Amino acid sequence: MSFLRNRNLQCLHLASKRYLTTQPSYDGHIPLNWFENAFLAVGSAVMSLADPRRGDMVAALGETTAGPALPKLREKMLASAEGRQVLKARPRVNSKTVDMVALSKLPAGTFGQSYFNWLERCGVTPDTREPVRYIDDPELAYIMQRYRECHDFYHCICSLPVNVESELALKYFEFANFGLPVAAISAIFGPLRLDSAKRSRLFREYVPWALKTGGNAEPLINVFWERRWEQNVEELKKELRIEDPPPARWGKPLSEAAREKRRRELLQQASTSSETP
Amino acid sequence: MPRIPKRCFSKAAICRQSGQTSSPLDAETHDVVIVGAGAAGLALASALTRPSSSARSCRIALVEASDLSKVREWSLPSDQYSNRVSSVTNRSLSFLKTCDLHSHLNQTRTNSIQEMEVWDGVSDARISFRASELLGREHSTNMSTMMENLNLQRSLLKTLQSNSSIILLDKTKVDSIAKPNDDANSWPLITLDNGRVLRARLLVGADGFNSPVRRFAGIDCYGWSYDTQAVVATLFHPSRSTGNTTAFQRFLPTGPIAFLPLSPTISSLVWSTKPHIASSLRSVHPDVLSLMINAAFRLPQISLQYLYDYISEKGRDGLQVERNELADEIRWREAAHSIQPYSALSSTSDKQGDISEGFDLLPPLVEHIQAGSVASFPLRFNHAETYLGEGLGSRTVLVGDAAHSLHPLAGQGLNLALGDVEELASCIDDAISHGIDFGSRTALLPYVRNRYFENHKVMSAVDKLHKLYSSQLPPVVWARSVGLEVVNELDSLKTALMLSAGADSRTTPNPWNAAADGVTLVNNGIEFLKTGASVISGTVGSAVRNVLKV
Repeated sequence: MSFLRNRNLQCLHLASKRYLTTQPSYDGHIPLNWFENAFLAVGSAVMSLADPRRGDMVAALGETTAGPALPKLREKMLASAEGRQVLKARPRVNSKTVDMVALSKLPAGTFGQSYFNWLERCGVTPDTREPVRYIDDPELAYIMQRYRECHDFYHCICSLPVNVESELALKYFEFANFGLPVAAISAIFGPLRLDSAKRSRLFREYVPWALKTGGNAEPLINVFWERRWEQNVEELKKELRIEDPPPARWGKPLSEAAREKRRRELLQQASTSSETP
Repeated sequence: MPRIPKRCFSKAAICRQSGQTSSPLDAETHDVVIVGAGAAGLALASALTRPSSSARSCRIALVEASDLSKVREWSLPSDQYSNRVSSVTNRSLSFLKTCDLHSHLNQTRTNSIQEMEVWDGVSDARISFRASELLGREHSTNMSTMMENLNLQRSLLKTLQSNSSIILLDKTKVDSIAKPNDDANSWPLITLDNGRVLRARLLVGADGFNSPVRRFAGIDCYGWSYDTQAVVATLFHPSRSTGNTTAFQRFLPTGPIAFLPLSPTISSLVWSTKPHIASSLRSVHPDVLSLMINAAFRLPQISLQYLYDYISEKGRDGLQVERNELADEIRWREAAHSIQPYSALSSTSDKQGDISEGFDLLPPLVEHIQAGSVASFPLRFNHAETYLGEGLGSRTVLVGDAAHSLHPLAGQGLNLALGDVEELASCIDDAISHGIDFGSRTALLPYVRNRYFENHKVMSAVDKLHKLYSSQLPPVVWARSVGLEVVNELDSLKTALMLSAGADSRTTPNPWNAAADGVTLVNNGIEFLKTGASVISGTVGSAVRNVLKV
C-alpha cells in the first residue's frame, strides 16, 4: 500500500475521510472502512425491517446511511447561535443529566412539565438510547447522538404518543426537518407493517402535516432543549413554528395528561381483565 | 486568426486626431520609448543597455508617471519588509544577473526557497518539492529567490542611472499617442503632459494592466476578473531550527493561502479569498488576523467557514473582534475536530519550539503582523490578443502586465514579464546585428512567437488550478487528490515541473528517469491492488463471521 500512503499525513494524524483510520477517535467509536460500512448498512436495514424493535440495528442503519446529511446539520448548527451553544456544551439527555424531580415541580404549561408528563404517560425513559459507534468525526457523532437523544422532545413538542402510526408520522416530520436518510427509510418501509385502515389514515392525515410542519419549522437540531424547561410549551411551539398534528389516539389536550393516564390505565385494566377469564 | 481591428480613437484620453498632434519637426527622436518603469520596463531598459547588447548605443527613453525618487530612496530597517514580494526563479535571476542586477541588489533582504509544501485544504493530499533531492547536488539547491519588488526595482534603477544613454522621464504622464497624418508607416509620436513630444522607432508598453499603449495600438484583451481578492501582509514568527526556506501553500475552496519566507523570522502572506472575506480580514485588528492566518493553514474548511462568518458578523454589527474571544472559538473548533493541544495542527496552545510531529509540514505560527502592511487587491486573468500592434498601431510592442495578468498562486507574474523582456531584448539585439529595423514587424515576430504560447500555457495552467481547487464536489476532490499524490511519488515528473517553472535554466529532464519511475509506479500499483484484494477478502471474511455470530 506504499503507493498511496502519504508520509506527511501519517505524521499529522489528520482525520481524513479518504484514509482508512483504525484508531477510535472517541470512546465507543468503531472505525469502519467503506466496505464494512456498506455491509453493515444493508445488514442492519434487513434486520430492522424484520424486527423494528432491534434498537441497535435501527441505530446502526442510521449511522451507516447518514452520508452528507450530518455535515449539513453541522453547518446549520454553526450558523445558529443556539446550535453553537449545543455544540460547545455537548449536553447529553438521560435520567442522570435531567433532574426529573425538578421537572415535575415546574408550573403547568411549561415545556419541562410537559416533557415529564409525556414520559410518565408513555412509560418510556430517556436512558434507552443507543450510543453512536460508526461515525468517524467526533463532532458529527455527537450530532447524531443529539438527534437520537432528543427524539422524545420531538414527540412531546408535537404531542404525539408512542405507537406505530405516531412514530411513523414523526419519522416523516424528522426527515423533512433533519434530512437524515434513516428517517426516510423508516418512513418508507415502516407503513408496510400497518393494517390498511391505519395506513390510509397515516397518509391522509399525518404525512401531509408531518412534511409541512417539519419543513417549515425551525431546525430542531439547533434547539438547546435543556435551557427551555421553563418556557411555556405553546410559546415554544410558536417560536419553532410547530403546528399541532391531527388528534392522535389519545385525543386530549396536554393539561389533562394525568387524568388521561389514569383513564387509560383503568381501561387497560378492564380490557386485560376481560381478556383473561 | 480573424480579428476585427478595433481602433480606439474614440477614447479621447489616449488618442487625438493627427491634426492636433504637434508637428513631427519638434519631436525628439528615440530608438526605444518604454512607457512604464515597473519591474518589466526597468529590466528592459537595463537589458538593452548592458555592455553585451548591440542596442547599447541606441537612444532609449523611459517614461514613468510616478516619482522614481521614491523607488531610488526606498529603504526599510532590516526588521521590516515591504508587503509586495515576488518569487524570482533561477532562470529569471540568471537573466537579471546579465543586466548587472547584483551590484545594487540588497542581498541581505533576499531569501532562497529550497522546499515547497503544497496541499489540498479539503482532502489534505500533499505534494512536496525539495530542490536538494530533486535537482541533485550538482545544481544549486534553491528553486527561486524571494525578494521585495521594491528591492528589485531599486537595484535596476540604480544600474540604469549609472548609464548615460538612458533618458529617464519620471513624474511624466503620456498625454497622447498618435501616428502623424494617420500614416501607418510612420513612427508613433508620444506627447507627454509637459509638452515634450517623443518620436519612437519602437514603442514598448510596460505600463501595466490598464495599458494606455495597448489601447493606442488597438490590441484587444481577453480575460475576466476572478471573484477573488488577494490579502497581503508581512508576518513575524519565531525562528525554526530547520531555517525558513520553505514556501507553504494551502488550497482552500475560497482560494489559496501562501506563506513565503523572507528571513528566518519574517515571511510574507498572500491570501487569495472571496472579496467579502478579504474585506473582513482587512478590517480586523492585526492580532486577530494573525490568529486567522494560523487557523487558515490548519483547520478544516467547515470550521474556517465558521470563523469567516464569525468575524464578518461582528464587523456587520459594528463590534470589534477580540483576540481572546476568537482564540476561544478556535480552541473550541480544534477540540471539535479532536486536534490535541500538542499537535502541529493546533494553533492556540502556547507550546514552545518545534516539538510537534510533522511541524515542518506547516508554516511557523504567526505571532504578529508588521504595522500597516495589510493590504488587498483584486485578481484577474487577462491576455492581450497579440503583443504587436498592426496598421496604425505598428511599431508598438507589449511586455509584462500590459500583455498579460494572472492569478498569483504560482508566483509567475514577474517571471513571465522577465521572460518577455529577455526575449524582446534578444530580438532587438538580433535585428541590430543583422542590420534590420528593429521596430518592424518582421524583426519583432520571433518575440511574439516565442512568448505568446509560453505565457498562455502558464496562464491557463494557473487558471485551471485555481478553478480545480475551488471545488468541494467529492468526485472532483477525490480525483485531484489522487492525481496530486501520484505526481508526488514521481520524482522525475516533479523535477520536470520544477524545471519548467524555472528552477534551473540549464538542464532538461531525462526521459529515461521518467520511464524508470513509471515502471516503479506500475509495480507499486500492482502491489497495492494485491494488498487491497487481501484486505477486502479479510473484511468479507470477518463480516461473514460477525453475521454468523449474530
